[in-house]
Amino acid sequence: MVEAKVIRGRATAWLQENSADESTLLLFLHGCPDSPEIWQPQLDYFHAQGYTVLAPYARGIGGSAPAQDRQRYGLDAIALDHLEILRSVDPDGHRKVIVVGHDIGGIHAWKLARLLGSRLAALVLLNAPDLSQMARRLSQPRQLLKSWYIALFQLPLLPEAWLARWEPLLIARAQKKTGMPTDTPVSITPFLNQYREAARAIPEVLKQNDTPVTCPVLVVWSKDDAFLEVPSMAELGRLATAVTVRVIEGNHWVHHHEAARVNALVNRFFKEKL
Amino acid sequence: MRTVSLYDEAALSDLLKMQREYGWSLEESIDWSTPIDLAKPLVALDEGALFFPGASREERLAVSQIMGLIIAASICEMEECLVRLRKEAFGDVLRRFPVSPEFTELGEHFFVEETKHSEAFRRYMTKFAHATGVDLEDLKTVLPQVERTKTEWYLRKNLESGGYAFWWIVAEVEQEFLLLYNALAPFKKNIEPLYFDLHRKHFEEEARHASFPYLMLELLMTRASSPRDYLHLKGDLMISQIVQTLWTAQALGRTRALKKLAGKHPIYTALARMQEILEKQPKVRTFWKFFTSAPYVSSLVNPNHHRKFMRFAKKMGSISIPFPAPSPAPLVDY
Repeated sequence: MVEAKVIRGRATAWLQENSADESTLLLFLHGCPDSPEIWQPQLDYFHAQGYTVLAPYARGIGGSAPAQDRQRYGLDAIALDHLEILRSVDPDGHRKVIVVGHDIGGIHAWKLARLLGSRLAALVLLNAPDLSQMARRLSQPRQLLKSWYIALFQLPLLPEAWLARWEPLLIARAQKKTGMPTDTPVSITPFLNQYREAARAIPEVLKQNDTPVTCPVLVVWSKDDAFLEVPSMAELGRLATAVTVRVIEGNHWVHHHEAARVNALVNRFFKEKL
Repeated sequence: MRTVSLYDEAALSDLLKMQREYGWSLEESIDWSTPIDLAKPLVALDEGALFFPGASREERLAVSQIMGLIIAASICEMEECLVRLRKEAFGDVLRRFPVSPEFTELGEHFFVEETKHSEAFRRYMTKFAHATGVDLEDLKTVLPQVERTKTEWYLRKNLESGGYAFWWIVAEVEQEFLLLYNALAPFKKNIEPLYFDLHRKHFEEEARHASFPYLMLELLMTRASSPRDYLHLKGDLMISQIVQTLWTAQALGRTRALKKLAGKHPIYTALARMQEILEKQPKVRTFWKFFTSAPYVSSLVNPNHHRKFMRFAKKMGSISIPFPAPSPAPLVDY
């Protein structure tokens, strides 16, 4: 069911299904141009497994109000929103948390993982990079070809104007060409500022040497992703100390199109590692 | 050979389970106390006794035994080379293109089995050397070698540059090992029992893991994406064929050193004597037989003997040298 709260002055909403009081919190962060409804197969499955599941709406989507201040779309601001959502469910902060991210939701998942410290039980990435990983890929021609739209999103105003006119057509094309889901709400415009703020953070991210995440990390990546190249172990080794990688058949929305398989793989990972 | 998908973790897991369940033990599954019967051939030959038409019964036996040893040494050396290049061929590739824990485990088991095969054939060669009154080191001077050769140096360099020549050779050689046992099986009663038993066991495991080199090739070819990778995809099969042909010719050429072993056992004396027969053969005929009909040799250098292999190469868009159509010479009883 949908929960809502004013967080740091802005209405913020998320899907939530409660389990036992001490159950582990499983936080699902969606990507662009999705909404938390994309996680429904995962929410149902892991709730049935005894987890308390949460899936926030990105700012500007559903009940999460957009912000005039662009910094509210920055990595730090979004991480603070996510921490606040966790606090509203677990005020004492002693329940374990597992973060699952897809697409740009993965960038926020890595950010949040570094802030959660010992509360973080595991991190799961489904076709989702870290920002530093993505920044280092800018020298790879194939990734650049796949990420042309991110460069376009950096322009002021023009993308908004362009999407105001062409968004339905673009989405229809992406649904046909890349496997973008047709049965859950999608919208690109609310994500423009997330991409702009992420790009602004790149120089700083590349300068700072983040300590690798030490909890178990599962990376599930479909090999025919139209937007992201499959990562190497060298890339992932910089980010975490205990990474399990699973490359599977499928497109960018593998958790949607291969929901049963992804759920089984993630659940198996939890059983083996937690 | 069972074909599995690179990205089907359940199928990979089942395959590994089967390999572990039916795998044999080097110490317990083979009776190493069995003495070698030097009166029996190691492999069946064609009418022309490979490159020695008109050879006597005693000479045919000697040719069969040296060919059997060349095969044993080839398996031993190639599988040892595989293990030596494990980091470049497997570890580095999976670091660049990770797949799944199941695939990693399957690969690790592949190398464990190859080490075992190599050791089994080394033991056989040692026993044979002792039975004929020479040391293994002496015998090895006339047998194929891979370690510290240009072949291994080249394969390592090719791997380090992201190439596939090594896995092309492994895939073809694995196919050859399967054909080899099929060629030996009809002559089971006449073949030296320990040698045959070893090949039977080798065949069983090769049949179970022969798909692995193809999975590695598929991984490399479908995930690599740079212009250099494209050149490897197109050209490395051809390069592997050149390397393999040169290596085979060189390996056979090493038998010229048999003169040094002459006098130590009648087998070596007969073989040393036969070098002259070989030298008198028309070169063109020998060369043609090398590629088209010489048992155990032509099928190693000419990939047209292996349909599955060539189909895979075609599917991947790799360029092959246009080898002549094979015309395998029928094998005859000793």
